[in-house]
Amino acid sequence: MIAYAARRLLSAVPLLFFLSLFVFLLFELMPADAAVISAGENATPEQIEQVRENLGLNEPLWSRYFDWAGGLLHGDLGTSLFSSQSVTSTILERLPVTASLALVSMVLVVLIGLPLGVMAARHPNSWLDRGLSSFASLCMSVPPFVLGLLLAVAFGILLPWFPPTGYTSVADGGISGWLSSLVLPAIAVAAVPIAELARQTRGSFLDVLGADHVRATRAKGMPEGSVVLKHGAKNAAVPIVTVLGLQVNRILGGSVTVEFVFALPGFGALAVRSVVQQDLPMVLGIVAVSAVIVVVVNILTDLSYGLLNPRMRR
Amino acid sequence: MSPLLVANGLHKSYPQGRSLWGRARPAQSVVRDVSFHVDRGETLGIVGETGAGKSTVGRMVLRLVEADSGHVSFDGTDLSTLSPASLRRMRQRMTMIFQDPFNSLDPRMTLRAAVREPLTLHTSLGGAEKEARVRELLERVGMRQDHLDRYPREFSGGQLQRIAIARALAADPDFIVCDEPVAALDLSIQAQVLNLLLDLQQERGLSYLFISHDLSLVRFLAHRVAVMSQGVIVEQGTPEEVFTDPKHPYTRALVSAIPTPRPTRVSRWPAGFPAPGPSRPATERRSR
Amino acid sequence: MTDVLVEPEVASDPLAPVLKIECLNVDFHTIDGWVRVVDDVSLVVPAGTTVRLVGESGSGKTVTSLAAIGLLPPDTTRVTGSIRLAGEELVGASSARLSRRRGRDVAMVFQEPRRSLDPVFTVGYQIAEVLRRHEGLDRRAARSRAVEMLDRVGIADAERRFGAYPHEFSGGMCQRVMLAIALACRPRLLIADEATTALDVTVQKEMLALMNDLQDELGVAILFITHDLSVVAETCDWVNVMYAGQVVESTAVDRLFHEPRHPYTEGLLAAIPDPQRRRLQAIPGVVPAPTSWPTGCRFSPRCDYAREGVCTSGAIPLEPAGGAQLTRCARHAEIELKGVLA
Repeated sequence: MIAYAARRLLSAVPLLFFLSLFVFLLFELMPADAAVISAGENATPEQIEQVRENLGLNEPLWSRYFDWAGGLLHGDLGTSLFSSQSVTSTILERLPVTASLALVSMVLVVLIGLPLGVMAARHPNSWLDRGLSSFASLCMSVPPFVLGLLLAVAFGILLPWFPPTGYTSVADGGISGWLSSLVLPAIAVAAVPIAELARQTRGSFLDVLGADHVRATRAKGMPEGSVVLKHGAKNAAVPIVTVLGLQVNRILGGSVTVEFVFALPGFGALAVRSVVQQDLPMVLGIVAVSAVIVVVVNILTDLSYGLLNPRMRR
Repeated sequence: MSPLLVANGLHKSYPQGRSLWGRARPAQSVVRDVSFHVDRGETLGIVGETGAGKSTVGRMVLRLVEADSGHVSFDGTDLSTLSPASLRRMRQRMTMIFQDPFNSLDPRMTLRAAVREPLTLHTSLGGAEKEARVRELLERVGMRQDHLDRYPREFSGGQLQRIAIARALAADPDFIVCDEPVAALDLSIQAQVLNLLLDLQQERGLSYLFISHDLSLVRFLAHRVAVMSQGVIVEQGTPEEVFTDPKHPYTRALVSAIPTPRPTRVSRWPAGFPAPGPSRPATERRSR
Repeated sequence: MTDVLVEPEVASDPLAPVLKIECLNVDFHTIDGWVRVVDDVSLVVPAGTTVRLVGESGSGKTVTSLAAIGLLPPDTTRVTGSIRLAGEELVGASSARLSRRRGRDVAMVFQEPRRSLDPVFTVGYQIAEVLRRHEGLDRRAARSRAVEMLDRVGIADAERRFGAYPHEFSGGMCQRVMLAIALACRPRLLIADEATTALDVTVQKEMLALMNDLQDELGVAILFITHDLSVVAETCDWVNVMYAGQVVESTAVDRLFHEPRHPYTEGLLAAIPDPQRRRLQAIPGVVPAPTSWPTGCRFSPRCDYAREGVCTSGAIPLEPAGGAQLTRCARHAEIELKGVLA
């Protein structure tokens, strides 16, 4: 199992380099000149040339790429073209905000999506099932930032239950302050994943509860709770965990726009700003960190298969 | 006269995938050195238990599965040397009936279309001739004219299997591989299908390769029997020889396991025990 | 448990049947409304005996057995009549009470052994689970009893195989495990629904022998549901033949083959492939769907002996036809039927 995880992690390395190369080339194709941006609006051509020299932009593309990649191997993601701060420290500063948002969203997804799906599967075609299905379609058709705006207006301004914008860390506002600053953005981010998880959970449970071995378990006289929550859940788990793993990517994606809407100083908001400013080192750093998160989540998902399903063990 | 079909030294193995470190696992051989022949108008039964490789043999004979080595010749022609086009022409004369009638017909095709398809594929008949032939074939397998425009879902398993037989007969074949054709059918329906196969053999001089796990069925139907176990034919002979005087230990075990209609133990039914009384109105109790 | 009803007559009478089904009707809720699939079925299974319930697909044999173990889905089925398990009425019992009976007093093994075991739990766990549920054993006691059961059903090296998963077992071994689960709490009745149908003949033979041995040892009564007439005679005492939702013949097993008293039974016997004959006698037509059961005798449209009037009007009762044998044929007194054994 450890060998398998290590192999998967190693296989992520080439992926990371191809991804970064892609971003590198993408920026190369952009008409804007990083030196011009970095030097500021009133810079003279000599100053711009000086900046270009300092940033090493006169070097050929390959040499710049390998410079950057070499730094990456040492955990050095370079320096922002704008703030002149280290990319690593900027990202580390922002990461807790996004991690908090992702955590609260994930908790909502699991606590709401799973039970809804199970209940719908227990009573297929009931009013609850049909209601859930319409609710899921509705959730999926509203983009997170639109929902975020609606929530901010409704529960931040018209009914001022939660702060409409801004982030309060645990250090500043305690757990309750932290949580209340995250409730609205987390709902906005979690809505689509909740719907997807509920849909998958319903489908998986419906399949499993109709299976022969569940009938056999009932024939043993096991109480209904054990049939559904022990035998049913463990059998239905693999596709549900797969979908849950995919929701991590979706939550990260959703947080980009939602953080912007709620003015949360997170990773996503940083990504939006850096792209707008064409801050290449920052964008590359963000891509690298996101890729690592996605790969790690995928590996965890894969490893969980072995735990959940004995047939998938090698 | 030479046999219609000769299979010689058929081998088939399947790769087992790769191990964790990418090394290939040794291939699993499912059929080893299988040889037999089928005469004109004859039924060769292949019996064996799950995993014996009997279905793979049936598919290799028609080249639906390519053999690793060995030859199949049909009416004097080595099938492995045929070009795809001439193989397709040859398939007109050799065809197959599968176990599951529910999956062997396209659910979106009417009966007429299903039987018409092989006619279009293998013959140059005109529209009216084709229609007449479709009607003739379906009538032969006992389907009614008003069934023509119905879809497979409207038929029972036995009816579907008869339709599959009509389809197999469309191109006027000489040889049919029957792979467990009645395993999915109820006893009373099974008899209808078996009788149909017997009658068709008599009328048209068909040859069958009849694959089944059911020994009494093969004994009833086949002129000669081949017993397969773990990819190998362990014994071949007439049903008489194989079933009354089995030579191979495996055949002996198999034959002795055939259930008999004779009671095997002294009845434990309690003497004078009241049998269930004739039906009478009970106090109707509503459940739940 | 206070809601266990044991009637005094049952406790005292050794001949009292373990299972007694009387006038059982089962209706299914479909898009066309309620449809009757089991109609007026009565049968008994005395203690320690094996009773076969024979029928083709759609005859209602599996539905009858599911009703006897209380496994029909309550929202889409309606059960009327009486099912008494060791004297206790199951029709109308609460689902909680039914679930306490299942696995303890009545157990079931199914047709597809590989699909009937939960793939994500070890076989040992699945046996221990039923012991913990019904006998309140702790983990260790349940484990040692489960190993004992594995050993008893003929799984070699039971101690080590306790932790194996179903996919590591062959179909025959899985069916042995199913039997271990079913018999772990020493039920009075075992329902075997096509329990040997999916197995190879050699494995089927071993399985039937094992069931016979376990019956001797535990005194369990067996209701064996099958469509396969060839296994009917194996280790069996009594046979009920079902057709179109009804029991049409009920007889001792030797008489079934010698002297069938219902034309359907005769037809089934004649359809068994027999190497002495070059043609089979097929029953014409198909089994009618529950929505289109004929009036009068349900077999009459396919029956050579059927007469307009006597066979086609009014319900035909199941009545005695010599000794304890019962038949649901209106003309059984007039017609001479052939068996397959002299």
